This record gives sequence, structure tokens and C-alpha cells, in this order.
Amino acid sequence: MTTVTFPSADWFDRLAAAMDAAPERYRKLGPLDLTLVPRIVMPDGRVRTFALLFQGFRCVSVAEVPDTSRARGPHPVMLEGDYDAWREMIENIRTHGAADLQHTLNFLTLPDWPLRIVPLDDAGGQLDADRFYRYIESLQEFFNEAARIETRMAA
Amino acid sequence: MTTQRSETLERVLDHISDMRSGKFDLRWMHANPDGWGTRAQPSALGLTLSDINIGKYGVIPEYGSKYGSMAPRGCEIPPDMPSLGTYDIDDRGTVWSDNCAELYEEAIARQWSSARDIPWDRLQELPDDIERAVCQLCTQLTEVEFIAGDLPAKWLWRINADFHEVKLFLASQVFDEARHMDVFRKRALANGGGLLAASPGSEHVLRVILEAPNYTVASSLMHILAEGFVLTLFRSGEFLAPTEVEKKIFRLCMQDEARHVGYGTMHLKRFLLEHPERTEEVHQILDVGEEAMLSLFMEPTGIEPRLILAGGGVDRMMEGMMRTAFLYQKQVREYLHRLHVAGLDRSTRCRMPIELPQ
Repeated sequence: MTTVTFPSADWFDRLAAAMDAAPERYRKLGPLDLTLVPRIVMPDGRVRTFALLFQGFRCVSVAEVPDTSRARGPHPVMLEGDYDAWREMIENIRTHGAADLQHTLNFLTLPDWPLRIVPLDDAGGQLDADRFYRYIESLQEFFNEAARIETRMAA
Repeated sequence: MTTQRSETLERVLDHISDMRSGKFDLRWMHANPDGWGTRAQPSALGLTLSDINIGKYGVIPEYGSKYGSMAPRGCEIPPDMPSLGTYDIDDRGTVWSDNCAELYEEAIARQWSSARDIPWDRLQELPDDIERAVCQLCTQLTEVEFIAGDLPAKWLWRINADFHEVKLFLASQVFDEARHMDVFRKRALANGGGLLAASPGSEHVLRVILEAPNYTVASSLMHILAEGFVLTLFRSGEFLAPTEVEKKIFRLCMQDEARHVGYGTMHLKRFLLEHPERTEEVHQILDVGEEAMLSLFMEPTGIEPRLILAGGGVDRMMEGMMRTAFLYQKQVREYLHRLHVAGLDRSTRCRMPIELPQ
């Protein structure tokens, strides 16, 4: 298994491939209809933005986009935070095999810090943000796939 | 002694006699000709309710069938169809939401078992004050959760059969709430503690919801206000969970609750689109509901266990207050935002303060 760098489209692609490789596990968790937009603020101030399109039981596309306005797909919801918070979450998942009590997606986003959820479409608004909670088990499982991905941190 | 045969029995016996002599009716085989030849195609999720909403079967009428029967939408209804006189909530605007079919399918796909899907074997002995706080929180949730089952059940049987997607979704919600009631009760009784105190304040709030004068205002109170608040409560429950067991419980309940809030938001949106003249009616019930909700939020049996969990112990409740105040703000902000999506602006009318007094 080759090492991939976080953050990169390749890294998120690996998560998507891991999801594809376990269709029964994700089918049991339930379907999704969401565009998750991870936005990572790097230590030097640069921003890396990705668009992950979840449809049914799969992450059907992964793309790096110049900014959140270019994230195409239904129900776009941004998951934003500093690189350090992302790195800590990923390292925690890799150490424990899954997020521990203090590193679940809900734990990290509920206080709006160190990560936060922001709906990107005015019409969908909070209704789109609520999809993040509707699919929280699937999304947590998706990020827990990081435990099995050889990851080189970019900074 | 012979029993006199009723008219019904006579008719049945005549029919059996006809069939024995090879006389069959078979008119039903040629009923509903414009509905015949339908070939719904499964989507990526399988054959969903949305997939079969094609042709005449997918027309959601402005008013449900006037027959007041259980006849399925899109079938042929014989002229002598009797009305049962019960399915009288027949105005699309008062029940429909554009996402109810999707939410129903999602609910069915995301069912879980409180017996099997919670890692009960990972319960740990907790400090006494933390266990008591968890048990009180579970007592309150056991008490309040099934109101969101009782309320839809109260109205469900009156909803016209032409809006079957709504009925199916509400049925799934009743079952979700049953599971919430059972999982919180199980948690309270599983780790050396038990149920603690019921809350008179909760009963007052639940009464407002149960006695709402019609389905739409009841739904606004329950699906958007109450369940929206409980959704954030579940999120904070996951956040504060002392073990993987509570973490899992709250995450699974969170998913369910978010579906209910999603229905309520889109239902209110549809209602306000079709009945803008009734906007004030919704405002007025929320005036009452918000005050009741605030009162419930501040009940000692509700807030104090959360302060203990947020602070990390009964001697650190003051530290818990800051976190809890933040969560309260989030609850109110998200609630107002959902109403905004539905087309109702309560930013200047909301009876709950945006921030708690310091």
C-alpha cells in the first residue's frame, strides 16, 4: 500500500475506495445524499478545499476545488478547520483504529471548534447542515477508514 | 335449530355457488386501464417510493380522495366505495413535505437495534456523580422521547390515504421514538444506577404539544421546536458521553432525530406556501411552545445533569455552565435558521432569549 499525502484528492480517494470495498458495511449504515466539502486551513494560511459527493452507499466523486463556491453537488456542507485539527483527528484514528471519544466528528464540530459545519447553499441552509447529523454514522465510518491508509502529513 | 342467514352470508353463499358453476366476476382484471403497463425502475438505492411515483401514481393531489377510504392512490375506485368518515385530514398543505418519501426510505435503511447495536459490554463503572447524571439524563429522555411517538400516532390515522408517504414516514418516526425510549431506559438500568426523578416541567411542555389544536401546529411544535432542541441535546450527549456506549446511543438517536426535524421543516415550508393566511396561527403556537421549552430547558432535572457532565463532576458544575450556555445559543440559532428555511421569520418574535443571562 503506497503512502498518500494529507491533504490531497488522492487521500480522500483512498477513503472513497475503502468505502467501495465494504459495500455491505455501508449499506447497513444507510444511504447518503450529500456533498461534503472539507476545507483545510494550512499553517501558512493557504487553504485546500475538496468536494466529496456522497450518493447512495458510495462516495462517487472526489475533487480538489479552488474554493467552496466551486464545489458542485447537491446539499453542500463545508467541514472546516485548521490543518492541526485535521492532523490530530487523523493521527488519533490511526492510533486507535477509529476515532476515540474526543475525536469523533460530532465531538470536534459541536462547539464549532476545532472543526465546524457550515451549509453552503442558502436555500438548503440548516436543512443541509442537518444532513450531516442524519448521516453521522456513515461519515464517521468513512473517516475511520483513515486508520488503514498510510498517510504522510503535508506539514 | 337453524340460524337465520344474514344478507351478507346469503350473498357470499350465492357467490360460492356461482364459482362452483364456473361463473367468475373478473371485472377487476380490466379496471384502471390508464394505470396498467407501469414499469417502475429501481434507482441506486433499490426500488424506492420515489421510483414508483410515476404517471398517475405520482400525482400528489391538492386534496386527498373525497371517498375517505383506504383505497390506494392511483387505483380505480368503484362508485359504491363507502367512506369510513375518518381520513379527514385531506388537505395536502397541512401534512405534505417534499422530502417525506426520501426520509421514509432513509428511516427504514437506518434502523438499528438497542439490544444488538450498542456495545453494552463496554460499559464502565463511572464516578457516582457522573453515573447519577447519566441516569437522570436517561430518565428525562425516557420520559420525553415517546411524546414524539404519541403525537404523530394521535394524528396519523386521520391523514388521508392519498398521502401514504406521510403516513409511512410518521409510522417510522413512531418506531424511532419507541427505540429511543427503550435505549435510554436500558442505559439507566444497565450500569449500577437506575431511573431517577420524573419532571413536572416536562409534563407541562408535553401537554402543550399533545393538545395542539391541529396537526400542522402540532408538527411545528414537535418536529421543529422540540425535536430540534432534542437533536442538539443528542449532539451534546455524544459530546459529553463518558464511554463508547453513550457515544453510540446518542449518535444513532441523532440520526433519527435529524430526519424528524427534516420532515418538520419541509412540512412547514409546504404549509406556508399553500396557506400563507395561516402564518399567524403557527406564530401563536410557537409563542406558547418556546416559553414552555425554555422552562423545560431550565428544569433542575434537565439542566443539572448536563452541567455535571459538561463540567466533569458535581463540584465542577460552574465550568459546565459556559459550555451549556454555548449549546443553548446553538440550539436557538439552529431553530431560527430552520424556521427561516421553512419561510417563517421569528428572529424578532422568538420568546426565547438568544443568549442566556450571565
